[in-house]
Amino acid sequence: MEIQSNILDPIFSLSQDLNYFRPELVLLICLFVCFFADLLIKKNKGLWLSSLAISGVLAYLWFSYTQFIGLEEEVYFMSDLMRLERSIVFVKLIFGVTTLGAIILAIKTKWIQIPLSHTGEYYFMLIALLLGSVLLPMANNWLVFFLLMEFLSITGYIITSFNRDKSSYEGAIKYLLFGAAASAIMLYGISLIYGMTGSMSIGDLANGMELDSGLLSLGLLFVLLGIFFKIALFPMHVWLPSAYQGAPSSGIVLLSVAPKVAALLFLWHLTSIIELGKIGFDLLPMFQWQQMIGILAIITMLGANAAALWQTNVKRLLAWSSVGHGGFMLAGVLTLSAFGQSTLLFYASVYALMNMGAFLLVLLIKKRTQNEEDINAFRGLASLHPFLGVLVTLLMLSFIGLPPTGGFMAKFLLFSAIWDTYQQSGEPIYIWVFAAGLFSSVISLFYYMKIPYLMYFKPLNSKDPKLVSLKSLDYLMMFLIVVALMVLFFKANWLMNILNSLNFAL
Amino acid sequence: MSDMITIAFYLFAGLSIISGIFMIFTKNILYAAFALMFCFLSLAGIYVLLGADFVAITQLLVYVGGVLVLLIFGVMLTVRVEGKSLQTGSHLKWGGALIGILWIGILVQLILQVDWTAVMTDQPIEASVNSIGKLLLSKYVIVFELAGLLLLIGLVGAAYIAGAKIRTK
Amino acid sequence: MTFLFYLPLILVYAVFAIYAERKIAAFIQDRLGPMEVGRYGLLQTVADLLKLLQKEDIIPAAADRFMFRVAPFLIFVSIFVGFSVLPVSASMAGSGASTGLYFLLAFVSLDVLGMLFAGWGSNNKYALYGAMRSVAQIVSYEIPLSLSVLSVIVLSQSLDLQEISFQQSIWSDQKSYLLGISALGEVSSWGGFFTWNIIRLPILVPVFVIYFIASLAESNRAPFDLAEAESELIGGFHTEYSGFRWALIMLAEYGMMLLVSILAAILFLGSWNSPLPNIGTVKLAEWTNGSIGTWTSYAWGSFWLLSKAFLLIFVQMWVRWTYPRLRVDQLMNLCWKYLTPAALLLLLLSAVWVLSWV
Repeated sequence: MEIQSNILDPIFSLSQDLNYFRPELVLLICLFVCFFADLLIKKNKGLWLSSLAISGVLAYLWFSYTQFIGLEEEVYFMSDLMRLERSIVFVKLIFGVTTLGAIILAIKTKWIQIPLSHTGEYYFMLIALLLGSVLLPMANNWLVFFLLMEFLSITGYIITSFNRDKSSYEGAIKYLLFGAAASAIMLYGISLIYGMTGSMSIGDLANGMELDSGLLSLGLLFVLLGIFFKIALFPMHVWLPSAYQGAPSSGIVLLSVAPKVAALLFLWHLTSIIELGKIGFDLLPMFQWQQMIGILAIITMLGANAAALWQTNVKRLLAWSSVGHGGFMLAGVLTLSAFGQSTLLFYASVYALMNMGAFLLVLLIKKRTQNEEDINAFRGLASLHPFLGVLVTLLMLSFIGLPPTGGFMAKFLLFSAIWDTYQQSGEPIYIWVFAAGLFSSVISLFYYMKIPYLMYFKPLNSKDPKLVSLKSLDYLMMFLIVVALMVLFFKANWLMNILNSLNFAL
Repeated sequence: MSDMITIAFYLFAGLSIISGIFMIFTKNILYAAFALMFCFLSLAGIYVLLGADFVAITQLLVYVGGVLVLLIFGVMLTVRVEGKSLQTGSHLKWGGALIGILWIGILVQLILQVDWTAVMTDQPIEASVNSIGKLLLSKYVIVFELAGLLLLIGLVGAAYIAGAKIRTK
Repeated sequence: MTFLFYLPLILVYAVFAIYAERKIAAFIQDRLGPMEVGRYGLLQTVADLLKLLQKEDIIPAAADRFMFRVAPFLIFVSIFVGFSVLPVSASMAGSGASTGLYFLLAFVSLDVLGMLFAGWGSNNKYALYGAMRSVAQIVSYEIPLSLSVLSVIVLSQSLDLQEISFQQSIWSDQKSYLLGISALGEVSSWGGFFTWNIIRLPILVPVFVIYFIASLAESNRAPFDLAEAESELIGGFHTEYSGFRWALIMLAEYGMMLLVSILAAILFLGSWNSPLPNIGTVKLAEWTNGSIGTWTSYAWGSFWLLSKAFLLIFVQMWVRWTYPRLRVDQLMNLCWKYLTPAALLLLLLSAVWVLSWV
């Protein structure tokens, strides 16, 4: 048949663009290998699957690294449906390392939480989540964007319900209900945008300005709501604590970093287009996106940190802290400058590291107390494990943002970026964000320090069951994470130099 | 001819609005599902009037033949078979009504603002199946593949969640 | 068109199909079947029909009256709408929608809703179980059915049923090759069964088998009639129905049989084209197809199409009275573990075949 040749032509031309997808293709292969290995392998399943997943992610990291070296400037490909710039490739590396951490944590739990027969599905979901988060910042088209948001949501729901116990289902159903509503709203917004611009391309947003209608702003607002939901900003975070409480700890390591940072990076792209196109929110006069995001960042930072004060469950506490850090990173988006982006990425890397450490801690505690997640399980631990006490204290200092840790540098850089933006634009919102950030850091001191406090100043709980001795491997991992955080303080310019060398869209 | 189309449009639009309203206010879930079917059918009619026959049929196949059946099935399977008609209550009536009315107000206001003549086209609408198929496998192939992958993940997850007994602590 | 041709057709056909079903059943089970009314019992169904129409339309006291009443119409209408896109002969077709086949599949899947309403509205646990079973079955088997139809579309590259019919005729512009391999030579001018889809692309033979099995399940026929399962569920979702509404449901069931058979004839077996090929100067294909636009084409077209369909219906009945009923788990296993993967694989293979050899 004659028609066939011209049917296939565009596909062949697009196949060259697959070069840009090398890391993702590796992940895809890894995904299916895990899938089939789960079916075919009978002996030593956990070992096989874990090594397959780890080697897959390592290969992915290698390909991301070569992409990072090779990529010069922003490229658009797949008939402009996707885009790629160096900051996105950098985030790929962060996500990859986080996934490695998640897999190692999953192995470390020795399937306390996940039955051995389901390791295949678990790795499948983790890698799928990684794949979705990697692709999301690359989206340059509303269709791709929406599918990837769903990608992240669905893998999120499944990972949350993976423990298959009551609290896990509770968290998952909350996540699902809120997530579905957010998706619906976002889709409605996308349809409005499409109606106003006549294009599915995100770059064509400014087309809609000709019609001079609030409908475009309304659509944008809805899309932003969907993104905010994914980042879990304050009014849209209600699902998060329960979801984190129910999810397996190793899953949250990835779940709390990758979708969040991916959505933030996409938000960055979107806001820079809004800024370039001078698209205003005509819905409310004098109300620009800076105000909206600024106010949300303020509410999130203050609200989440205040709410965390009352938490006694470690996982819930970390969930609230994750909401709060989302607020900090959102403040980074507000700057929309090259320096701001570097600081945002710096913050994201530090946050990913800290998070890994924190959930490693949760696992240790769970192991010690047989699945207790109460914060009182930390009582008097320092007298038993003095070295662990030091490490935990340093980790918590980093969470608060105090020296000598990477957390301090992250916050310091972020705030200086905001300060710079304030001095350039003179908009009062920046100074408010700045103040709220400082204030909420102070609030966070109280709940983060609760853990070292309990460890050092409270007596051991005599009712504790027989103590499980911590292995040197646990120490080693904790030690490595803390050392990495310290390096990020003392030699912060190593990472900042790399980040500053990134090519920015702005 | 154009009059016919206008009449048909108002017919379908009216039907979809009436069935939508009925769906919201009825307390019997299955009646609501029935009304939803009419809502979907009339939306499909509107798609046909817009020259998007493929979308219209997909709407039928996916929403009426798929989503709605799944919905009714879910309702029937989760409620014990006792023979009582299923009732739903409504909560926060006044708040909901207020938000709804406000929302309609905002939308109407915003829609009236738009100068629609600027976006109208006289271009004839071409038959859509072939062009949609070609676009899906050329320009939008990434979307197509992503959707496939998404469905696979959903399938694996559904099998995982459904295939398990609840473990109690 | 549809009203003029297919509505009377379904009515007349249903009467004779029921008679045929009883006679075939009797033959297979080595008995006589209806013999009393008319010669060889020919008027038995007519008598039954008269009885049915006179019967009281009983609505159970506890039933949901609205749903109970509306369900049979929903079932019948959704199946009847499917007929609207079917062609009858070369110059006589239903709505010439370019998405005809898709439209048909979409609408036929709506009868599921009617069944659910009927089962629920009856307020009878047997009816509800019957409805659940039949809906689960129909929804599942739609997948292999659609996939096997897709394999045909890969070859025809059209969703218009009349277009698909023309491609299989001697008037086709599209070239046909012997057994679907271009190296074996062109057979477009031979016509007859050589240009049937199933011969043009031999990989469609297993696809046709899958289609046939799935279509049996779609129309709730044995060995997939566990939704009705007289011995367990009394009669499935229409247990509580009587009189005219019951007749309507039966009509829909037999209509569904006819619909899937006609569709099979169109998609696989050369539609309204004669099975006889041109052999040299003996232009059998042209003689037995009539010429387009004249009454000969109407007559030959509908004759061939309907005889192919009736042949398939005969096979359906034959299967029904030969094979035992499946269990629910066997039914789902067959669909999800065998038919669906096989259909997917065949879809891939036929795409490769079309790209590389045709």
